[in-house]
Amino acid sequence: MNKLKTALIFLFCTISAGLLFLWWYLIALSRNIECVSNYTIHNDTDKMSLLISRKLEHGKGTDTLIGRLYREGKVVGNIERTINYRYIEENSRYTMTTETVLKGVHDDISDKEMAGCLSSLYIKPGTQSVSVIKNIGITGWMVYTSPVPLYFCRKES
Amino acid sequence: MPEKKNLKSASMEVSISTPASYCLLLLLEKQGELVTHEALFNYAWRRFGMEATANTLYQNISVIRRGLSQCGLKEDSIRTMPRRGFILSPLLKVTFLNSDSLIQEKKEHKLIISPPESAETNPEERDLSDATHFEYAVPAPELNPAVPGKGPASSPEAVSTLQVEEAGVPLKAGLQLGYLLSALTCVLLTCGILLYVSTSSHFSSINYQYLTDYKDCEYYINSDGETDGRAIRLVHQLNKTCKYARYNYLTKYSEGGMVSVINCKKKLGYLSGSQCISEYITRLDDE
Repeated sequence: MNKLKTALIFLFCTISAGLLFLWWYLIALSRNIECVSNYTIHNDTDKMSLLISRKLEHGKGTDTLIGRLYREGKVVGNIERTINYRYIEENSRYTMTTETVLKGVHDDISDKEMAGCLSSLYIKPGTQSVSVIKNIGITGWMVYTSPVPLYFCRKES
Repeated sequence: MPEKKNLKSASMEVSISTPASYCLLLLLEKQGELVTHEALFNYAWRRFGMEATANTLYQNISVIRRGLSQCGLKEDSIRTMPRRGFILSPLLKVTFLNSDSLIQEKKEHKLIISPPESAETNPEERDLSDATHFEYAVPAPELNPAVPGKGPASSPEAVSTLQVEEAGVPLKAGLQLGYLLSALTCVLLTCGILLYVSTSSHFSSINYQYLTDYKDCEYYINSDGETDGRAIRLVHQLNKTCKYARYNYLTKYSEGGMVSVINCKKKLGYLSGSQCISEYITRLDDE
């Protein structure tokens, strides 16, 4: 009987610990975001292809953008910049305020061309932007600025 | 001859010698009566062709007392009648129970030994008494009287095993196990609810439903958007090739011209990760 009790307690404790760990993991997953995405934006005339790396942790976020702007199939600009911002999260809604925009040596796109495809979050320090970021399972996040998702951001392993 | 003699409670198992087990059996069979030294000598030794001294007899009785005490039966259940014999306390409650669970298909009976009734008057002692019930198992066919006197007796084979268990414990242990299971189930349920609450939002984010297959591509569309012929037209309009990735997740609402196309190598799922290329189209020309 005692052995049975011990075995049952062990079994239940193990399962409970596993569930609690999973719960904690999912909570942590929601709070700390580190992901990468291949993202293409089409507007009337241009197409911008980007690789976005995003990291959000403890109210500080960093996005790194690398890509190109195409017009009629031709490259008209290169993007290489890192944007640091602070954010406040409330129910998956992230209000971000740009702190710095650091351009790389290959970044030669104008702000006007950039603004045609991306939020001014990526252009001017002090700009505020709101994004909704939702978990898609444990493998990534969907980033929205409206009900239509902007991109799927895959969790970096 | 029996090979194994045990006094067994839930928490303790005490081995006693073969003669001691025969002495206990005879005392049980003649509970409340004086069992003389001679009767014990005859029952435990002489019928097997052995002789024992009074000192040996007293040592074996002492072994029984110590064993019962270790098993939790604290009362002085075996009384010594000087120069005459021993009496198993009539206040002890001894019950014979049927059992199917013992040796080699033999139908057996169990004797349950309980402390005196007086213990029931005090709740604390009552709890103690619950912990000091015993079961004493002997084979049923051997319960024929082998020694003159009232009550069941047994032949030498009667005690091929001698087991004493706490009889009050199964119910109590069952209750404890029930409480334990209930508590643990509550813990599990709580964990499950926490997990469900934290994951439900994740599941609700995957709100795509299957739309169609078109040119080696599999299309899914947001279930709260356009899921009819307009969605099929959108697929034709996109006219995607799916060499890199087969699964396409479309999001389009009636209002607003924006379309999101997420093109993945694997299906989007809760656990399965996937490499995807996301496209955001701010204006799609209507046909």
